[in-house]
Amino acid sequence: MAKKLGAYTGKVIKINLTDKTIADYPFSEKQRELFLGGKIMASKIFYDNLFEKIDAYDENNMVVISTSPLNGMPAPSSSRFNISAVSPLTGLLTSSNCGGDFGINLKKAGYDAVIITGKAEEKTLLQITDEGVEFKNADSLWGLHTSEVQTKIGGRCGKLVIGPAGEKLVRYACIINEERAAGRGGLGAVFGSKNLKAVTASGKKGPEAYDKEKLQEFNKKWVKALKDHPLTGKQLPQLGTAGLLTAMQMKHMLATKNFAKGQYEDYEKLSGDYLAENFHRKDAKGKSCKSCPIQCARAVELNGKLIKGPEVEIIGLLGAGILNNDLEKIIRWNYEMDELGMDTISASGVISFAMELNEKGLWDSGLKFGETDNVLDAIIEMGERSTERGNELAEGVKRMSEKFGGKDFAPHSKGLELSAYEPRSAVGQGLGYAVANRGGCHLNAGYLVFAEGLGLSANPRTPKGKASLTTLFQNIMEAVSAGGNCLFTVYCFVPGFMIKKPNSFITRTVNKLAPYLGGVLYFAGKKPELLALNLSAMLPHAIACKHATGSKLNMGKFIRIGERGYNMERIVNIRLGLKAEDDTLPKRLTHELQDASDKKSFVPLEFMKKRYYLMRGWGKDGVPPKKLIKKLKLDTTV
Amino acid sequence: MVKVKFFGVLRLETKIASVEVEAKTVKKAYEAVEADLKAKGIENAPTAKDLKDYITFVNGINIYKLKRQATKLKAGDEIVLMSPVSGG
Repeated sequence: MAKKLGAYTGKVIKINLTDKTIADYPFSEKQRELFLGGKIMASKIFYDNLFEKIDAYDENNMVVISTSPLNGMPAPSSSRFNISAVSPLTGLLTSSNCGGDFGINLKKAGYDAVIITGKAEEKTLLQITDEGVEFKNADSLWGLHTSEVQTKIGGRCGKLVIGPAGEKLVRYACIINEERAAGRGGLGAVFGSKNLKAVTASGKKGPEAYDKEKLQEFNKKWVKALKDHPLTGKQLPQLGTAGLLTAMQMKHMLATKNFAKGQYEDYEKLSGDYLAENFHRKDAKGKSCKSCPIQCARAVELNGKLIKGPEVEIIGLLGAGILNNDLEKIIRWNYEMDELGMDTISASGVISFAMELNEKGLWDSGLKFGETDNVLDAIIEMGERSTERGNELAEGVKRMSEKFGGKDFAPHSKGLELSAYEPRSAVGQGLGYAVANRGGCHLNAGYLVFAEGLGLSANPRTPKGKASLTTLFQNIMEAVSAGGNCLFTVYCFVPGFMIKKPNSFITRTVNKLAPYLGGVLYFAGKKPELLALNLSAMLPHAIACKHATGSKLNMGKFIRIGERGYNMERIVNIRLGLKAEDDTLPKRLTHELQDASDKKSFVPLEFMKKRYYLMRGWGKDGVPPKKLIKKLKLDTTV
Repeated sequence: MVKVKFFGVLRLETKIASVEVEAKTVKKAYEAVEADLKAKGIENAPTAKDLKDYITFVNGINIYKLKRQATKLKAGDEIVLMSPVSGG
């Protein structure tokens, strides 16, 4: 071994639940440098092992739980670890990122990643410690809600658990760690299909940073920069993600009535301000992620109990999305979904879609827009698959549309329900939803909605430059995730004065030029040698990873790591059956105008998609060519 | 009267959700809001100069798509003041 990287344990193991065997999985130092950690490390494991279509519930489906180099290191918002598997919703590779304490504890147990395969004969709790792995009977935990099961397990360890939804194979069941979720893609159902109720991890000491002093010094500066920035130092701590809702309304991006419109007249009762004024308990701490100076999570009180409050996605989808202005009900529904262990975004999309199916006479579920008395019942039924209605809802929007009709207004991409952003007023976000490896996820999409109106004001309805910006944003976010930081730390990329002075000449000029800057930025991304520098104000993540691991990282190399991740996931998805025509959106968004008086108020997807494939270096069929695979060194084995 | 609604950090820091002012242009509305907040004794109330740095909508349209601060107002109009936001 040429050198020893810091921040890694150096060990990956494969656990087979069927025969209860444990084996070392080779993952070299070179691979760690090229694929960093988290979701990209997981993608590499799938890339090297999955060559043909497999059902999510096949016992050979792997669950890869992977940590990142910055987990447990002195770096802000750096507890985020990853879980990947073939998704029961999309049939493609899904990954979900979580801010609980499990990743830090897994590293303390001595592992960078754990691959779980097979199917346990009995209900199982997998206990991973620095002394080894034990398979425990979980009969007494089966059926418990996510908070109950964590309490019952007890002890000082990281706990990954599923609720009844995962046990019952609800296709969008999630995995919970503390009060944080690995939410998207149905990972909880994959756990359930393996009879796996929970995984715990604990140990005495995690790995050391390569250069601890430099990392600590850099951490101080980085935390200060986050606290001084108007978004991460003020808006997110004071309002949480719910602070987005008013801006979404004003910019016509608030998905209303199952994505039929972009504005909801009663939005004020759903706003972040309303949540802060009426429900948020500022004296309550501990709801946010570990090691985070931003503290965006809301603590709210429900029936005398302090719980984690709702994020903007569920507020939008179960507020404007179903024409409901009762935020208190959303808080309750959000809590129930977390307890049952369901992804709040997908579950909400399912409900709004069911309401439109009912309105159009396609399926009478009893759910109606503007009527909320039976929504809680429906949530419990779907989480437990306890009724015929619940059983249908548990299948997700795509399968419901295949059975009952309504494909043109079924809010999903590749089978994953869309988040609360209406893309006809943010067409770059629409492109991202369509091409994202995970499916209709706002973050995996590249989150262009920030540049198209929420943080900046780049023209939201022009397709110009959106393909290159989407590519760049996706690559950066992919790498940041793999490093272990929260994506919110990327907001420092935008100089504070542009947020403080959105009307200034400079800010307005940047906004106007943004669609044209995309090409320049993309070119820089394609030629990483041009970005062989480290600007802490722009991308501090690369510097932190460098100090943590000892790898000679710079901004260009860091973005290239993100590009590797995005391409590997794409290739795995192609092996799982993905075609270019799957990069799509419901016709409502691509063929119906959001605003009858504005002929540009739709997502010009085909135009942007062609450019996106070009920017990615893919063929017209959306397939990464061999020369790109070679250039990105995706086949690196040692 | 023109209704001026505050959102985001501005609202949390002033603890004011909205004020009603007499004003014929957006510029005059900023000045009237400053005077109103001062009269209410709001601590660290923003001045008219500060308010110009907020994203401003008149009846749902950004003033940079209208006549900026010279945008004319009439009774019953609604102004929204907010800052750029983030999340995800």
